[in-house]
Amino acid sequence: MSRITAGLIDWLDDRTGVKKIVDEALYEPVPGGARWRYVWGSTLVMAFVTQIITGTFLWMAYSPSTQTAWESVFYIQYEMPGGWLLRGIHHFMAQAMIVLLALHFVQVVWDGAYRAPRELNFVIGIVLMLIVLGLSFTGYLLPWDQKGYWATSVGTNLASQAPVVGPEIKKLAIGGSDYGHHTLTRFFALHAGVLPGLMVGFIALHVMLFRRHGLHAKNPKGSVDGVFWPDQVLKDSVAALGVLAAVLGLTVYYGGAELTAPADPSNPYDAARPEWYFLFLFQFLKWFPGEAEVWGAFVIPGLVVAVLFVMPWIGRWRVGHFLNVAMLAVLLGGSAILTVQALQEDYYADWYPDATDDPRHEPSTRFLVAKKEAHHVAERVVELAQSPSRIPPTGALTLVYNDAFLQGRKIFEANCASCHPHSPRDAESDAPALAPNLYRVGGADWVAGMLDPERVGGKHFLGYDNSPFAATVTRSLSAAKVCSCRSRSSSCWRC
Amino acid sequence: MSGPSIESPTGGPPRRGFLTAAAAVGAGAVALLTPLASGIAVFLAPLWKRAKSPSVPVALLTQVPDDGVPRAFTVLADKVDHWNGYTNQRLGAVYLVRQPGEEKPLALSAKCPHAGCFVGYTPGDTLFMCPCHTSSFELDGARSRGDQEVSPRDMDPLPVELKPVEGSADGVLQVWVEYIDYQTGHAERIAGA
Repeated sequence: MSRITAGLIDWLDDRTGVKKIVDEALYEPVPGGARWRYVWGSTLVMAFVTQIITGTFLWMAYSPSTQTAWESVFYIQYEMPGGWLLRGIHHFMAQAMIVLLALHFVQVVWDGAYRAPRELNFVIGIVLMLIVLGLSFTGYLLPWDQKGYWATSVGTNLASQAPVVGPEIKKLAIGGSDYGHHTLTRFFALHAGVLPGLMVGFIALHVMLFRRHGLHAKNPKGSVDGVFWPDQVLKDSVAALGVLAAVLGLTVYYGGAELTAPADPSNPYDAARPEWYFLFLFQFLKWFPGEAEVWGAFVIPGLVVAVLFVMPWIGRWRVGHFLNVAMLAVLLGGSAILTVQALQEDYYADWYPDATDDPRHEPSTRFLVAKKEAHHVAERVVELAQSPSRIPPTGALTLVYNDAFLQGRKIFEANCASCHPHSPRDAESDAPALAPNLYRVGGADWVAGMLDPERVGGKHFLGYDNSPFAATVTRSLSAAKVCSCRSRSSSCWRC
Repeated sequence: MSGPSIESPTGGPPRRGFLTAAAAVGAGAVALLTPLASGIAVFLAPLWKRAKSPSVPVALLTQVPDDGVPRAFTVLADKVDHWNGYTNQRLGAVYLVRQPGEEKPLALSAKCPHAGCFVGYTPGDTLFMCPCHTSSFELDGARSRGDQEVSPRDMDPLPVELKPVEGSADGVLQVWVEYIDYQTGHAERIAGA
């Protein structure tokens, strides 16, 4: 180190005491030496810092309003260089945080690291976990796509069932009676301002108390004590790199985070599901029909969280600790079973295509069709949004509603299909024909059929049930065929 | 327990310690710099976008008599603002000046080359006047006081073409201008403000 650098450091230390701060940070004692099992807390901090970095850059390109949210996310995803990667890292790192949080939490409970004097730090950890779940919930809506919109709609509608103040809570959450601009501005303010701010504060408290009480070592005896720097930092850094590698792998594999079709409040989305880590709650609610839902949505989850908060005091006794571990095992095991059950119900028709008699088959088929349809609409809207005329100021939903390719089938189904069949004309069907079959109308087969006296009077053309045209048209075309083939009479309309 | 209870190494670190420290810093840096790099790439996106200069009709030639008097015309064109497309938007304005006997008018951007204010012209005056920092320009766009003006360059002339009005049988001509939005504040003209 040069004399100038040393002088500068001394000057800075004299004014700030930085050397002591760095010493305390780096030379934290690690009883029993550096271990891989101590990395989870550090990887969580690294994941949160990654979210701050990527979130800040996403913030620079995101515009929270019902006409610009999906549109700006589309622009990030498909137009900005590296935008898909940035959004993908943010999306998958959020999911990695949930996994890391679960690991950290399980380890703390398993090791009994919540016992005195660390009870308060455990409570802060639970608060941090709730903040992370809040961040996930609020972030899911921000792209304002069908998936996020309908999943959040379900979540906020459930909030309105909260005892006493439910409707008011919902109104406050979504910024009014309907979902709109203020739903996005409120969720965005929570997601990018309030919750990260709280998170920074509670992480600071968490780390401060962790430093005060020291690392809770598991069986340190027999190993040489170490210090945080550099051995434990190396392990933490390698683990952080591993987390990033997994996140990058998922991002590249899926081509970034999904962006489904623009949110359409008038078009319910049958495949609306929360993120996978909330699926257990989604499935759990199916057990509580009607008025009983308040138990599944509030009372039981509320009690579970309350018990989590008092775990350190339950765990003061040996039996209490075993109770805590058993309860955690039941909670995690139950959540895992519910998650698998939810996935199985949704993908049943895919996994068991032949089991059509099973009651799960029909709703699963509906889910899969809705998912496929949403994927198809999303692809088409992206194609339209990338056209030279871009997205109109009224938003991407206008592209959906003005596109004949997307709307043709829907308009036909809503206004025509109850009378006009739409299936290949050679297919067997006992369904009554109330109007001509419009399958590939205007195509070669349709034209040939219309000009064929033997077919035009059939049920697929003008001979449908109670048709006033069948007899007349068949007679006219039979006459035309005769004159065309034999007499070539000048009075015939074809000659 | 925190605190400097364990002495930090005071002498030169052993080789293994140095390698461990270097690996720790390297791995940690890669873990955090990767998302930072992807964010910076997105942040720098505007630098890779080239601004387009639309060629648009701004007036009929008959609206610009060859009397040497500047006349202001609005430039209307389709505009893309990131994800949104807008049709027929006002992009700016140009002054067209046709000297006696000349067929093609001179087109001058109404945007002041100093700081982008709208340069004004009052009929009868012999100068264009900028309302912001009092730059003044001759009717051919030259700075009236040369380098004494706060504007670093003359008003920006824009490419002009005369084209017959589409579908017109009697050959009525339109004045087409390529509306180049030059950066302000530079002595040289840099396209793509």
